[in-house]
Amino acid sequence: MSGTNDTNVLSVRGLSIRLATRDGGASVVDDASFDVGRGEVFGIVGESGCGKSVTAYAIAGLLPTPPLRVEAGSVRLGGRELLSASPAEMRSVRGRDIGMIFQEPMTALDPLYTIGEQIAESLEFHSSLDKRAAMEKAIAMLGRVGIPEPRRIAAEYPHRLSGGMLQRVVIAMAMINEPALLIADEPTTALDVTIQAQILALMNDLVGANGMSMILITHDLGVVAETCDRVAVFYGGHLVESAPVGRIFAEPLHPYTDGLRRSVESIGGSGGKLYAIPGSVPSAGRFGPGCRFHDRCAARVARCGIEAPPTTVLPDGRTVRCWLRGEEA
Amino acid sequence: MKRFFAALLRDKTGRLGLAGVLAVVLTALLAPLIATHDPLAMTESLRQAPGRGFLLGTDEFGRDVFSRLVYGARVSVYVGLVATGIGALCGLALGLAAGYYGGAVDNAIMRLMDVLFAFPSILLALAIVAVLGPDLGNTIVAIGIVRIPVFTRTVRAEVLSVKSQEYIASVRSVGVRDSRVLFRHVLPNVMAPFIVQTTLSLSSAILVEASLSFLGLGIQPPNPSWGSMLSESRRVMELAPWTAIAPTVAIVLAILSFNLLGDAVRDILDPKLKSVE
Amino acid sequence: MRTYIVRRVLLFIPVLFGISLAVFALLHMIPGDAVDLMMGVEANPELRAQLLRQYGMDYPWYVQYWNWISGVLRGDFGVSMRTGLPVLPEILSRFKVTLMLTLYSAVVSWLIAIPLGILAAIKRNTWIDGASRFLALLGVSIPNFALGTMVLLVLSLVFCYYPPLDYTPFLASPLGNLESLIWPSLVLGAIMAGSVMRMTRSALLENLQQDYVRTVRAKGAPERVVVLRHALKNSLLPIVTIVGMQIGSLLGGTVVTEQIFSLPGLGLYTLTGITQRDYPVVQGSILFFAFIFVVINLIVDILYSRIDPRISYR
Repeated sequence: MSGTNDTNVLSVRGLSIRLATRDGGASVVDDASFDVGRGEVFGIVGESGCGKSVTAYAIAGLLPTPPLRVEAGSVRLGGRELLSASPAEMRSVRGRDIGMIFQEPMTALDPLYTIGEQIAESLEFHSSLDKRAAMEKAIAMLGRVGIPEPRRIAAEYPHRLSGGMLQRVVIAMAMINEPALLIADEPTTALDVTIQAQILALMNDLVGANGMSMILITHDLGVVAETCDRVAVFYGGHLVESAPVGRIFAEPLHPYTDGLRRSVESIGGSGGKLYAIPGSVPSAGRFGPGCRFHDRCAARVARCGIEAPPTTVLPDGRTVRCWLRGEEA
Repeated sequence: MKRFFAALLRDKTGRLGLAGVLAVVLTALLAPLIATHDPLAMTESLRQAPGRGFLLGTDEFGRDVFSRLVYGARVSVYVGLVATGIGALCGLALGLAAGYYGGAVDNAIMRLMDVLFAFPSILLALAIVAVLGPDLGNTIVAIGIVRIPVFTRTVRAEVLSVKSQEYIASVRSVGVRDSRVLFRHVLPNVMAPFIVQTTLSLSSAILVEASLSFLGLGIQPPNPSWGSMLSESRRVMELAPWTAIAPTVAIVLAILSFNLLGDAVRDILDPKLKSVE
Repeated sequence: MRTYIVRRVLLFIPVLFGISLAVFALLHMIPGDAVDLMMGVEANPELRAQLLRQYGMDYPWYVQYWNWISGVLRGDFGVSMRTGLPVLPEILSRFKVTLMLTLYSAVVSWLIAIPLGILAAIKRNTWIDGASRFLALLGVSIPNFALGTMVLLVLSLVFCYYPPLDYTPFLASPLGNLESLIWPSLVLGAIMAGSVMRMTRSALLENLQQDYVRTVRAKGAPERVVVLRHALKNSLLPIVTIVGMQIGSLLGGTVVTEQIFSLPGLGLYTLTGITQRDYPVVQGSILFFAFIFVVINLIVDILYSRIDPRISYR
């Protein structure tokens, strides 16, 4: 974990998020820190409910508050603190500096406005273009995301388009103001397998061509391997490990990462038995004081169940949150 | 059942509504004990202001307003319950038939309901009463008929959604008789929205009865009904405003209580259901 | 779209035919008729027979129906048995009053209900929400005749004001027309506002939970745009449905209001017809009401497709 410097677009420190419930509340994300470098594709992986999407929404200031609330931490975008920004300041950041892509393209668009109107709307809040110029720019953007006949499609309503096409529209909408950071929340999960690869390739090309950074949230390690430069692994609200993609597959530091890797490899392997991590994820709020993975961990020691391990930074910048590795370092 | 009442009592609207409804129903049941005067007896003291002797004053014929209100509750509760009962049972039967058999039966029933539904309820009730002649029984029948379409639609929609579930198809495929499928499998699933609709309908029935009586086509004088009391008061209300205010307050509180109860029951039994009205 | 409208209009025919037959049968089923009512108890059989012949009531009912309905098709609704005046012109001139009353009331209710509904939804679970919801529940719970009577009572006792007893048509004097209609419109509008407000609030709350709202926020849209341009527009469908139903029931609800505020509207005309067993009047006005109803339903359906591009009629 390198300190804040000008190669980092985004820098998250000690982010903690709580869910308010009738009986007190539950920790959803606990003390997460990571950086996203300029031009970098940063993956966040984990099972559903591990806090990865919540982290992304907190960065964009879109947490549903209540019941979710940022408890502590810092989120700096280009050196500017976002967590203490006013709602109006956050509005000017969203859409202009941070673009967002969502999981469900079929429901992400307002059914009552045309595709063109909805893309042009992004420009309305952040530029002084008039309506006609905004529409022309929206049509051009549709062409750039690979939509055939962009002028005709711009006049269509969302229900007339397929999921894959709609996701391209959402990408166009998120990128039209050329934001420094793109946050994509499971952008391919809801799509057909054949479309998934196309969409991933498209996002990668556009991000690369424009020198943007991207946070790609997914539960799919395969997607991470194909697209990301670095990756952070979440488990039960803890960021358990972060490292360059090559290293995380070659030499996982955390037992959970290792389990994930083995389960993926056993799918690709020939004839062998499928590997599954024993047990299941405890739900938020049910965590004990110790490491959140300890009851499923094969390598646990006595301390693991009593005290949560701190995040350890290795000399090469990798981080891990595990007692076994902490002592090594 | 126990859980239902516990939930009802935990809810603030539920408690308020239940208290109001109980008050109205008890007043109706115990009217002879609560009333201080004979509701039909005319006294020498005409249009006397509320005070000693006459709790809420007297009307233009010197009748005690309070006692007439108390007996009026009887009419409202009686008409509300029986009319809703008629509408609910007819609607249940028609809705089950339409939803379960579908096809021509469904078409015939639903087109008839469309015609009934196409009329404002007051106008329809009015026409029926005009045909049958104004009296208590006919008022009840008229209001009951007016309520049928709402129930039919609710029940039919629910039957259709139950029927589309796989287990009903499997029960039918093994040759279980229609009546058995209906009563053992479909009916229990229809109960929740049906009960919700019944509760919500009570207030409408009371409202329509008051309107008919106000127009002189419901309960006939000299028998007390809140609607006819208000109608009679209009001749003298500048001299004796209490004769108008008292029945108004009674009508509003009664309908409000039934509405509160209806809302609470709906929230408990069927949070997704929205009233058809 | 055009073929859809044509098909719907063609469907009016069997519905209206069914209603006309039902009304006619119903009226002729009851014992006693207008002639009995007119002549009272000491009926002279000769006079009675003469009157029956005069109104064409000495034929079997199906012949009477045929005489009536063939007249209706030619635009002749018959004459009132009480006043001797033709029914159709009377219906049309009275419908103008009822229509004005309905429109004024609808405007009043939207002015109250939509802002309050929006406010209640975005200030959810605050005192503003609580107060608006209570007002709405009160609106749903007050019969219009009760509110109307109270308004008249307060106007006369507190302000010594009596609404005019004669109706002033809009063309004669717009201001006088407003004075005739303002109080009944406020009464009906306030009552309508109850359910419109409840629907606005719940539809808006539901839409604010939707994914597309999150997308709009992610674009950096101000809350005003999120609520008014997106969530409210998506809530219009259920709101239009309830407004359509209400305008329908309002036409009937005016029966009572017209009586209280002595407005010469269609509701009052029908009521008088019913109490006097004036067959041509009752048949004519009920058929007319039914016609207005199916027209309103059609307008609501057309509005749907205007609002929501997913709804298209072919």
